Amino acid sequence: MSLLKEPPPGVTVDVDQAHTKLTEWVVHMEGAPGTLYEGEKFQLQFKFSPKYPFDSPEVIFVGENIPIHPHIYSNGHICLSILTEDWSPALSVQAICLSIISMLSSCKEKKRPPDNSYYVKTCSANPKKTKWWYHDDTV
Amino acid sequence: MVEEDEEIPTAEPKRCTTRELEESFARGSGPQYCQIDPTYCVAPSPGTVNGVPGAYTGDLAKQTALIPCPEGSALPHSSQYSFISSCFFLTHRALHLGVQVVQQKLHKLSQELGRLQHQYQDISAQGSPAADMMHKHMEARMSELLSFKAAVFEPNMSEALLQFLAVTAEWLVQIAVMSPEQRIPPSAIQEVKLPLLEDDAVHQYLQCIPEFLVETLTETVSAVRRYNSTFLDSSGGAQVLPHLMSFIIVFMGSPNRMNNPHLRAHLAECLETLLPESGSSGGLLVGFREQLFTSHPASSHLVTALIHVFVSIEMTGQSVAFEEKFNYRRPMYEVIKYLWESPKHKKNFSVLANEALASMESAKPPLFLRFVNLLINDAIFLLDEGLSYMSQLRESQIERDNGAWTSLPAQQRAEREQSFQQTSLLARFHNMLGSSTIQAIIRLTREIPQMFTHSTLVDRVAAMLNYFLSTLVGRKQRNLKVRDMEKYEFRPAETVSDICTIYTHLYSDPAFCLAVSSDGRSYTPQLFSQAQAVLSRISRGVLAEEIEAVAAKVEEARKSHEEEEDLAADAPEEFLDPIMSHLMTDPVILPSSKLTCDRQTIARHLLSDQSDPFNRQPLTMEEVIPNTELQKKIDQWLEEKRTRRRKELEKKD
Repeated sequence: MSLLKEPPPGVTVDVDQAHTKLTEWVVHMEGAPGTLYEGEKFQLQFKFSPKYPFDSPEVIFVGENIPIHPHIYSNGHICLSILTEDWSPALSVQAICLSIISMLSSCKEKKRPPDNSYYVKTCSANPKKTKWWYHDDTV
Repeated sequence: MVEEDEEIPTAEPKRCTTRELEESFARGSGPQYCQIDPTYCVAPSPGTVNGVPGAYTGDLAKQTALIPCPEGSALPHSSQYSFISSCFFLTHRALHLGVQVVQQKLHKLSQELGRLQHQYQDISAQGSPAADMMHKHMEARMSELLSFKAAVFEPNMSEALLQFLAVTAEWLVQIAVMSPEQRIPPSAIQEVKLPLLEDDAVHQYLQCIPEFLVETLTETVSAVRRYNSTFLDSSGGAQVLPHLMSFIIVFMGSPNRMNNPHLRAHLAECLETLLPESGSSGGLLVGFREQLFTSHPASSHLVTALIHVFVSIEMTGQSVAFEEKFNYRRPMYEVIKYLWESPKHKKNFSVLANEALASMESAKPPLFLRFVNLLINDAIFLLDEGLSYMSQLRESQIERDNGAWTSLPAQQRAEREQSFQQTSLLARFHNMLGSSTIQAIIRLTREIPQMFTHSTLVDRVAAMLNYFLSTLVGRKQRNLKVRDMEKYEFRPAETVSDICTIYTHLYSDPAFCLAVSSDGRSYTPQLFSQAQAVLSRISRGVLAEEIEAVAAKVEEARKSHEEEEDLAADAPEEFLDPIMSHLMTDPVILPSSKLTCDRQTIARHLLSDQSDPFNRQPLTMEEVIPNTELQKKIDQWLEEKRTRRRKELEKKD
C-alpha cells in the first residue's frame, strides 16, 4: 500500500494492470539521476504466489529496455539474494524496488553478467527455479 | 582367523568369478558375516605407510561413506583383515563397477526402445515408407535388449546376487543397531527391536562403509522389479525380502545412519516393490508380502521412517532438482496408501499427528506438521501445473483442429507436434501425482481433521480448496475441456468430488468455515452451488447434500465475521500485523527486533525459515513473548466499538 502513497523517486505501479490481475504487477521505474541509467525507463514484473508474503515474489525486468548490468541477464532475470534465499516476509514491494534501484545506481560499468548467453539459453522461465550463485556484493 | 578352504583369488584369478564369491557368502547365511570387518575400507593397504596386512583397499577409502566423517578426525581400523572381509568388499567393488553398470545400460536401452516404439507407431500410422526400416531397427534393438536381459537375470546369477545383497543388508542392520560404544564388530545376531537405538549418536563404523553398497542394493532391486519382477516371488527371491524390509525400516528414516537423502528416497522405492500387488491372484504370495509389513518386530517404525524420508527429500535444498522430488514421492504415496489400509500402521499415523498437535509451535516444527505442510504445497503445485498444462493442450488442439498447423512449414509443424507430445506427458505426470496427493489429503483429513484446521495451516488449506474448486466448477472450467481427457489422467469430475469430500471432512470446525469465506482470492457465494450442480450431474447426490450444509456453515461464519470486520475497519496502525495488515488477535513480541506481530503470522514464517523476518536473527516460536499490553488495548478498543454499535442499532430500532 505504501508504495502507492509514497513511492521511491522514479517508481510507479501500473494500477490498471494490477486491477485486472491482483497477483501480477508491473512497476515502472526510472534510472536515478546521476547514475549510468539516468533517463532510462524500465518495467519490472512482479508475480505473487499464493504463499506470498511467506514466499518471495517472482521479479523480472520486462519490456523493451532491460538494463545492462552485471547482475541482470538479458532475459530480465535478476541475480539478487533477497529475491530468493535471503527473502523475508517483512520486505515489501517497495523495499524490493529500492534494492533494485540501489543495485542499478551503484553500477560502475554497463555490462551483462559473464555467463549471460549460456544462462539465457538454459534457464527456466521462472527465475526462482534457478539456483543462484551470488558473484559478489560490491555492485 | 578364517579357514582358508575357499578358492584363493590370487591363485587362479580368472576362475574366481564374482558369482562364486557371492555364493560362498550366501552359503554362510549364519553368523559368518559377523566376521566382516566394517573398518576395512578405511585401512591403509599393505605397501603404503602403516599398511595393514589383508587390507586390499585401493580407492575404497575415497568412496563416499554412509555417514560423512568430520574433517580431521581419524577413523579406527584393525591391525589385520580376514580373507572374508577382503572378499566381501572386493565383491562389492566388482558389483559396483560391473553388474550395476550393465543394469544401467539395460535400463537405457529399454527406455530407448520405448521411444522407438512410439515413433514407429506414429510413422506407420502416417503410412510412411520409413516404417519398414524403422521396424527392422526396432527388432534389432529388441533382440539386443532380450540378450541383455537374459545375461543380467540368468537365474543362478540373480539368486546369488540377491542373496549376497541380503547378507549385506542384514550385516548393515546389525552394525546400525549396535550401541555406538561397542568397539568390536558384532559376534552374534541381534534382533531388531523397537524402540530403535536413539540415532542422534553417529556410529563410527557407518563412517567407514562406502555408500555404494547400498546403491548396488537399491539399483538391483529396482532392476529386478522392472525387468524380472516374478523373480521376487520365486522361493530364491522371497528369502531376500525380509532382510530388505529390515534394512529399510532401520535406514530409511535415519539421516544419522545414512546421510544421503537420495539413497534413502530410493529405499522408499524399494519399499514400494515389496507391496503386495493388489490385483495379483496368488493368495499365498500376497499373504507373504502382507506379513512382511506386519510381522517384522520393528514394523511399527515404518510410518515414521516413511514420513521422515518424505520430508527430508524437501530439505536437501539444492541437491534435489525441482521435478526429481516428485519422482521420489510417487512411490511414497503408494506406500502411504497401502499402510493406511492396515489398522496397525494407520494407528501410527494418528500417534504421530497427535504428537505434532501437542507441539505445533515448538522450536523445531514437528515432523508431521512439516509433512502435512509439504502435502499441501505439493497439492497446490501439482494441481495447478496440471491444470495449466490442460489449458495449453486445449489451445494446441484447437489450433490443430482448425488447420492452423497444416499451413506451417514441415519443420515447424514437427516442432509443434513434438511440444504437444511433451506437454501431454507433463500433463499426465502432474495430473497423476496431483491426484495421489489429494487422495492422501482425503485420508488424513478424515482421520485427523484437527491438523488441517489448526491456525497455522487453516488459511492455506481453505485457500487451496477454494482455488481448485472455483477453477474446476467456475467460469474458467471451459478452458480445460480437452479431447481424450482419460489419456492425460485428467478427471475433473472426480477431482471436484475429491475436493468437496475434503470440505466435508473439515467444515465442523468454525475456524475452517471462516477461512473458506474470508479467502478473497477464489471464494464467491456461488461457489458451492456451482459445485453442487456438478456433483448432481455426476450423480453424487449425498455429497451434494453435504456440500449444501458446508455452504450454509460457511455463510454463517462469513456473516458473523463481517460484523467483526466492520468493527476493525478503522483500527489504529499499531493494532495491525506489520506483515499481513490484519487486526492482530494474539500479538507477540519478537525478542530480537522488539517488533510485534500476530502469532499466526510468525508461526507461519518460522515453518520455512527459523529467523526473525525483520532482522534475520535466529528465532524460535518458544522465544516469542505475548504482548499482553497491546492485547489489552486491542480488546478494549474492540469492546468500545461493539458497545457503540449496539447503541446505534438500538437507536435505529
